[in-house]
Amino acid sequence: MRSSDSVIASLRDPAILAGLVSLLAMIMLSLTGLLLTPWDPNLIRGDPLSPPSLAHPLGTDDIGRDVAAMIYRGVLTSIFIGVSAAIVTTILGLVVGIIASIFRGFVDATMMRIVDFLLATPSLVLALILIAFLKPSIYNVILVLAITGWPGVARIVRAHSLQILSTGYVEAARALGASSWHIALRHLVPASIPVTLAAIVTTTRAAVLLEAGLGFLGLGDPSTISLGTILFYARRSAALASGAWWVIVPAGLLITIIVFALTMISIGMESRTLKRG
Amino acid sequence: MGFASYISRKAAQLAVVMAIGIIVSFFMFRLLPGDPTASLLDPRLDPEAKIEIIRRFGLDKPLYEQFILYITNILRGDFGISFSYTGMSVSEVIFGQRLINTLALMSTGIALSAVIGTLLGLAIGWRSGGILDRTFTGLLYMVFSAPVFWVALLIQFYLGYQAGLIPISGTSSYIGVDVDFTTYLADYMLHMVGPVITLAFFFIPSYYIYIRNVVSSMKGEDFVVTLRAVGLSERIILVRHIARHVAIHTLTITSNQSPLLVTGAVFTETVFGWNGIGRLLYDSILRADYPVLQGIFILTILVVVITNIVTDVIYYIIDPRIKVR
Repeated sequence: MRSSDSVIASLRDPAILAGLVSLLAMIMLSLTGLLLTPWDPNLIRGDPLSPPSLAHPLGTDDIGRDVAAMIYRGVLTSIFIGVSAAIVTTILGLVVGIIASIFRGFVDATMMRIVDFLLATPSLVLALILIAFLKPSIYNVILVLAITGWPGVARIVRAHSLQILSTGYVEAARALGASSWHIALRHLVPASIPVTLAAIVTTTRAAVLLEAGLGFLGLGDPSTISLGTILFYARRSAALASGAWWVIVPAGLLITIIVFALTMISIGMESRTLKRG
Repeated sequence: MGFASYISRKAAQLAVVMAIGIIVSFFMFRLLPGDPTASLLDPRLDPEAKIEIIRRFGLDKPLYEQFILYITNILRGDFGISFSYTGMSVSEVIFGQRLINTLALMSTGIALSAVIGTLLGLAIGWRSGGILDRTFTGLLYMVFSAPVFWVALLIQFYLGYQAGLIPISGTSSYIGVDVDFTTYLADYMLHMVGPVITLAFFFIPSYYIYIRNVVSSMKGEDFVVTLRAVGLSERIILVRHIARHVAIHTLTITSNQSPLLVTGAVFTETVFGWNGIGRLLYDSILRADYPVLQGIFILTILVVVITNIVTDVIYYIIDPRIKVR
């Protein structure tokens, strides 16, 4: 009841609303686009590098593929990978954070040193080295994004859980004989939901950018079209030298809009928690 | 607690991070698929080099002996030999021209962004709330959301290919040609223009957003109100008082970015063909050059740890209030 109230209240925040609406609009437009271009996006549909026209609203690339058809799929892939990676990351961070806060001592210390180490290492360097070992596929990309992302979430959740553990009602539950599991599941997890929701948004933002980056370097899933891989092909081809702006501008602009929408949502959520005190 | 004990406690913490890094690196490069044993099957390697690798890494010995050998090699500064740059040790590949190129590019990019971002943040944060603030801050959040490789591509496309103002790729036009130093330097700096503009787009928003928020929340603080009541002009309050507080925040952001001084900007260097560590990292992935990757990885962690300690010392000098934490 209380959480559904706060969801409705969040929608009144202009930044959150604007961010959510633009994300939804992009998903709807891409789905519509998908229905309008029901062919395999790798099919050659026209002359190479033809500029935008009625037949090809965003022109064609260097081998004659329809850029718009690739973009529709790219947007959906980027959002899908970003959100899935964020969910995996957040759950991992939530579990580690709560375990560390309950067990304290050695378990906590070990986990937090690993967190320190991962947070200190630039995530791009870590992601690139990990992907060098793994076969590029959607699942491995999600795995790499999760490995680089979970420490941030774990640290926030741990700090938050420690605060809750010191409150009276948790002590009361302990006094009544509640087990650590009971406290974790009935008190810590529900109390961590606001922190977790905020983490999902920020990790989605980071994941979308990192996934696009891996795609741009040609280290993404080669059988899937994402906004990053469109730019990878564009850079490898003669598109830049032949002035084909339509191959590079739209894909990057869409990544920017997705990331910007997520930034707005996260700013909105942050200012709401600040207001609440 | 004094400074010495504070720093030594901090150093101990960071030593743990470094140790974890070295251990993780050992297992990552041995247990993951595509470890150095597997790459021994690499046809590019000649038999002598294979024997050399087996000897250096102790690959015919049990894991714990390999680990001891690995640690002693690292302590000796021996990171093995590169798979793809035949006949070169990892240290030779990393330390040298590439590291200089990356340091030159990154220090220029970060310094320029720190100055511009901080000044913009001061100027606009002081007038926050108005239409200028909203438009400009919104715009910078948009830039903040743009992927850096796309910005690099756009700059290369519009300034390089279309306008012909900057060289499209590379570090120098005079490779293998003997020219005098000033000509070389001018050409080197011209090649740096595109990457530096890209880095400015990447770094300025983080400085701007942070500083703007700091200045904007400082505007209403008691000490500012007092200074105003005393009759100081806005300019003097901003320059003498606010700017001093802001300096420490600029330092914080800069120290957070500083590992990039060495790891380089992978995307920017790759797009502009800048021959630095960032591009070396990418090339080594494509070439499965694990020894070089491991060298870059350990170097990265070392730099992170060192900058952390240096930053703490500088903080202590700038702001003596930070005594105990």
